[in-house]
Amino acid sequence: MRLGVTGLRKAWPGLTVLDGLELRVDSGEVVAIRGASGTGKSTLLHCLGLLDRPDSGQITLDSQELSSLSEAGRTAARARHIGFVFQAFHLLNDFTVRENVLMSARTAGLDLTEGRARASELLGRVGLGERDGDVRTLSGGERQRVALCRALLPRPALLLADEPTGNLDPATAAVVLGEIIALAKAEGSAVVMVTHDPEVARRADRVLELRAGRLA
Amino acid sequence: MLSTHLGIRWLRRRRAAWLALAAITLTVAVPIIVVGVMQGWLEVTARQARAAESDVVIVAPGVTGSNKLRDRLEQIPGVAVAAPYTQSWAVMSRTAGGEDLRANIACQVEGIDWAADWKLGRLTAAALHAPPVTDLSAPPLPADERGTGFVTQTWRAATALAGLQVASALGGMPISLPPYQRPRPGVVCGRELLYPHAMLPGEEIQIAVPNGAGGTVGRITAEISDTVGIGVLEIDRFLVLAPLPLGQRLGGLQAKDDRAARLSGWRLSAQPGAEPHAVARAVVQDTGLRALTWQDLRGNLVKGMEIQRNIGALVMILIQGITVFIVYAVFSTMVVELRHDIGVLRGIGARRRDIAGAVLWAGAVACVGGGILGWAIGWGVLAALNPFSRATGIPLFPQDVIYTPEAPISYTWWIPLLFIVTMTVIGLLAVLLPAWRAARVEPIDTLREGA
Repeated sequence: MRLGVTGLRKAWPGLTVLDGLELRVDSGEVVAIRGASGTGKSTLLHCLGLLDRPDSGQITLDSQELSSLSEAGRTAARARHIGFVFQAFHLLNDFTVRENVLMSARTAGLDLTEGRARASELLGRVGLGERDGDVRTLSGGERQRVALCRALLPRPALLLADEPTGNLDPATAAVVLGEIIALAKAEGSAVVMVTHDPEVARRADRVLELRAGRLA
Repeated sequence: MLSTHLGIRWLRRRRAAWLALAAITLTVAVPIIVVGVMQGWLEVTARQARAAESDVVIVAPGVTGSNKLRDRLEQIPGVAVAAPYTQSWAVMSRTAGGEDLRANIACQVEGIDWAADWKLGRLTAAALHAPPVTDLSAPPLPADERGTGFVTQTWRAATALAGLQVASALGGMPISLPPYQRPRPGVVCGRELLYPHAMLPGEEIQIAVPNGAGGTVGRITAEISDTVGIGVLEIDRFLVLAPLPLGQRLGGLQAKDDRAARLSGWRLSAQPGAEPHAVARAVVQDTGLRALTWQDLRGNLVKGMEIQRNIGALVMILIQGITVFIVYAVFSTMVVELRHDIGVLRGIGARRRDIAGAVLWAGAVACVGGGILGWAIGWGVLAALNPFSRATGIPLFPQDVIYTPEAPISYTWWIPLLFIVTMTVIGLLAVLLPAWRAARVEPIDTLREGA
């Protein structure tokens, strides 16, 4: 088991979003999480990605307890062990395609020579081996592939994707989704995807429904 | 390094950063220009003040002028050359021109051994005969007649006449010549002493030292041989250089009966590398006479200008302080603009210190880069000042105010260094708050906003 979540609880004033949530994801496994709007899917993803602190509960990644880490420890864990793919891509417009991909090598403190080789390899695998330059000139699908390469560059144990195909047309979404699943499995990453898209859910190894703060 | 990478890229891609760069460039260039001229003026004044003084002066009225003492002084460690002098406050007046033009003018007569004085390195030709650019109230001697010290035009004519008379005595001349008249001795007068009174080289003057009882200690009649223009008013307004025996006669120091001729003191030059104060101490220890360095005598003049320069530099630093607001505004705006990117970077594992460091790096690069650019512009403007003045005919530094042929300019290394360092410190202080704000951006907030 790569990712284990036990008794995760997160509440806002007057609203309990996550209520003793349990989750296990194995290496190379793709788990899709569905749920109606406002049920806490993104909150769950933010807690798993150490962007937000749960009120209680434990998150372990490769047997390492993450939820009690200090601010610096959480930042380091995000840099080295967790990859993010967002619906809005969140690329950095001041940097080129390759620099965006390489940015996660910089934040993780990896060797830049190796990082460059890995960036080329990943970009080649998603069909962007020849593309560089301003990221604003890329299409939505290309941007999402660049974001995927950035997320996977440090070989994260956990890949979190929040509506990764939400901004893409169905054909592009299918291609990007295929690449996420293929690359994550090849890297042995545990994948948790939040989605409304039935196609995404269909291609996942497991589909879980978030309801009343718990997964079913 | 992540901070460097981010900081430089953010700076390059933000147009507002160029505003900060321009402000920094200007506030480094302007102080370099202003203080460069002030420092240049100070250096020129120090040289001018220095030109009138030797390294060390023995102030000992009545001291003997014997060669034995000169030899002894030149044996003292650190002393290179010793030259005798006399000094007397006197009253100068015209011998011609009518009563109303015979004003009594206060002057300070220095009797000098011209040859010995030149060995001191004092009163160089450049200091004596600075070429005037603007039309002064009266021109000094023509260039080909300068550097002659006490040799007057009358002396030249008399020397030529003496040669002809020798030839006449030997029967080599067809006509008889006028009787030989011994010319008056020459004296060199400060320009500021002569010109306000419309006096010119070639004029005959009388100089007397009053004895305080209605009479005189000494009185001479002389011809003005040349002018001296050190450039320091308090020197040029009073100085009269006379041959040493004349100075001794004026001050009552000439040989009398069994008493040898005396002096007001000795001027000494220090050997290269010898510190004037150390030489002065050695002289006092060896001779028991009072010895002062040129800094003791004229130091206040230079110190006064140093104070002015320091105040000028301080004002410039305060002006640099205004840039704080521009740099702060630019970097605060930059952080607001970059809030999304900073959130993403924090989300993918950039540390707070990486983000703060990036903003500080951007600030440092802007300050140092703008500083170096300001340095280049500042020195460029300084280099262009005099050519501009010549080309346009606009006298930036009127020659009748300061006796230098061109605007005094200093390219001293510490001036740009001072203003680049202060600008960098000021700039970094201005960037501290935006950097702190950038480091506090929470990734969860920006990712939620951008989702």
